[in-house]
Amino acid sequence: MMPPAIACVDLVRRFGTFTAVDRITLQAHVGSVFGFLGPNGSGKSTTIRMLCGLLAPTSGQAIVDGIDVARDPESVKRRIGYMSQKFSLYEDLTVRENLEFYGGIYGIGRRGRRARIDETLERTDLTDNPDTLVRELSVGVRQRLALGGALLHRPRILFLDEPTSGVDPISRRRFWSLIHELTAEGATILVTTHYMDEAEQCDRIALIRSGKLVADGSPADLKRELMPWPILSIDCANPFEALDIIARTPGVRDAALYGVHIHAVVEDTAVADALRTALEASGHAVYRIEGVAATLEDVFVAAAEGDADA
Amino acid sequence: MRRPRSRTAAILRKELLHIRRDTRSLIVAVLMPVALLLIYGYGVSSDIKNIRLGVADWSDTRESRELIGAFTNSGYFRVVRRSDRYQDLHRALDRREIGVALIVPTGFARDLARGRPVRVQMLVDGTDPNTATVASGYADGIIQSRSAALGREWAVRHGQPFPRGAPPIDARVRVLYNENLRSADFLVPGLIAVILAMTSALLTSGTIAGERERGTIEQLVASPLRARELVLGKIAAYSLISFVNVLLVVLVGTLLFQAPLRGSLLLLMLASAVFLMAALGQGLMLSARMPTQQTAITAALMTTMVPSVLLSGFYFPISSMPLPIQWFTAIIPAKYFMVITRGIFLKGVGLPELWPQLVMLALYSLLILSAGMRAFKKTL
Repeated sequence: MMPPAIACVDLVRRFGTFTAVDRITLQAHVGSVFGFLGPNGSGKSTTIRMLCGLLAPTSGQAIVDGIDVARDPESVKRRIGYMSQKFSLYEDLTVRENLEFYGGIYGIGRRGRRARIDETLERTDLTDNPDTLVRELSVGVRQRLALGGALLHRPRILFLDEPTSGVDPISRRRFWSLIHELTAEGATILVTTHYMDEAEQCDRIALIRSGKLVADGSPADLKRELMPWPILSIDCANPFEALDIIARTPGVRDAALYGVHIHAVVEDTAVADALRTALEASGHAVYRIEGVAATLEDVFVAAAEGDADA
Repeated sequence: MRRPRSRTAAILRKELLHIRRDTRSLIVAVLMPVALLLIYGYGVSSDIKNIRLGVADWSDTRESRELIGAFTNSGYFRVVRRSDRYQDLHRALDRREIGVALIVPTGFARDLARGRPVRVQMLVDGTDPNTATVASGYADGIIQSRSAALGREWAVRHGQPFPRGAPPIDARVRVLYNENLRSADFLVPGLIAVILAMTSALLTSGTIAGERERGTIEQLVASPLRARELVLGKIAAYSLISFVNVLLVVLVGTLLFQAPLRGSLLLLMLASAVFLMAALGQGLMLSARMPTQQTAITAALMTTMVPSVLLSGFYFPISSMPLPIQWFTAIIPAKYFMVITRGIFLKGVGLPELWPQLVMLALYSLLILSAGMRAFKKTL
């Protein structure tokens, strides 16, 4: 088997007394999309910064494309593409000028650069506005351009830190089809996101909370491992008040609002009858109760609240 | 594949685009030095007039009255006090009622008639060294021209020059290299140094801190770009603007203020280029060290304006500063550049006289640029 494209072992980063990343171990295989999930401030960006050679780890090891990042960060930098969480293109430059600049600092010769830029514009669907100033572009287009900047030198490994935050659904879909296109060509992509539909599209995801790895596996694995209990979706009157009644019903492990419905994690689907009785007794009309498959969001909420290991 | 030169060029091109897009800042950057030169030039260098003169005419002869008349007729002096008592004049100087006192000795006319040089005593209020320098310069000029006239009269009357080749009136106040009695000649070359020090450091002070504020620095750090390439690319871009500033300031200084450019223009440009590296490098180093653009710009102003005006020898001669301060001035690049600009403009001297300053500037540039590169590395 091929060695992993990205691997870290017991990676730790402390800022003073605060431990931002606490012994994280993970592996991303060549040609896969690795999703990195966790609440804000849980240490995702810090981990990515260490993997990209921007930040030295306090302890532990990070290996990217077979290179020990701590030993030779500059080699790693040449091989990877990085899209930081903060938008980091020059707003007073045009689309093409930004790409020209990236081509320059990644050492792409002037002769090859033009063709490479045209190819990148094509690929990121930016051929319509190569001469538009970046400040005039929408967030979705900007993020595609940022990805283009990270792709220009044809890295085998890409780190994308929340590339689709603030991007509209259609642009997000376009962005992700590009991600799949790249992995199909053999690229490895580590991406952080808050969108569950995006997480579902990853080959493997890691959940991180307060700097610690909570779970790691394929979306299906995670649902199975972290959500061994069945879930009932309840549609009733006054869901807000009903939530409390449901949570107190014996056999219910956890209940949370899920849109206008309530998702209850139960020990057995037979609890449905008890729930219906309890709700109707307290004057809440019950429209429907049905068993549903766990979504990643169920898993994520449970894990983020610290109930996953209960 | 390593292509450091193309990476430096990429930074250079990018910075030039920033500069071109931000037309308003570009205009400010180009016009500010000229505007400063005009403001300072007119504000500081306009010749001082109506200096209050106190006179003790112990000779009280036609000759002594002619000498005093020469002072008042020059337009620079106005006699506001006459007294026969030396102490009166001294007290008037203490109280700043007069700026200059002129004492004509008892034997003035008699000695002149006998062909003996006479000494005229001048007291100058030194509390404002700038005015004092200018005032003594004027006085010196007036006395010299009066003295020359007396010498000619003597020669006509006696058919031979004034005895012993001495000038008839001995005035001891002298201003070197400003024999035209025009303060602009002295001030403009110094001003050029001060203004370039300030504006150049200001230009670069925002650039790295600005990238940090906007978040673009993260992308630069994540790339194979080296600190050296970033620093050199940025310096190259801003030195283009700064060089335009040099040309404009020299042009305005020589054409509008008519400062004489006696030495080599080429040497002046070369020295300016070396000095620009130091000044731009100082701004860049601060930019890499300071957390925000605002603090970097403020730091650049504080570390260039105050020292280059006060401690460079622009206003106050370094030799009259306390010894520790004199040592401190060694780290102010404007000090060396000022010696160079004044040397080239006023004395017309060249490399043989100015190389030590040039070497110091080059050394300073190297140090500050490598400090800038190290400072940027720390933000990795």
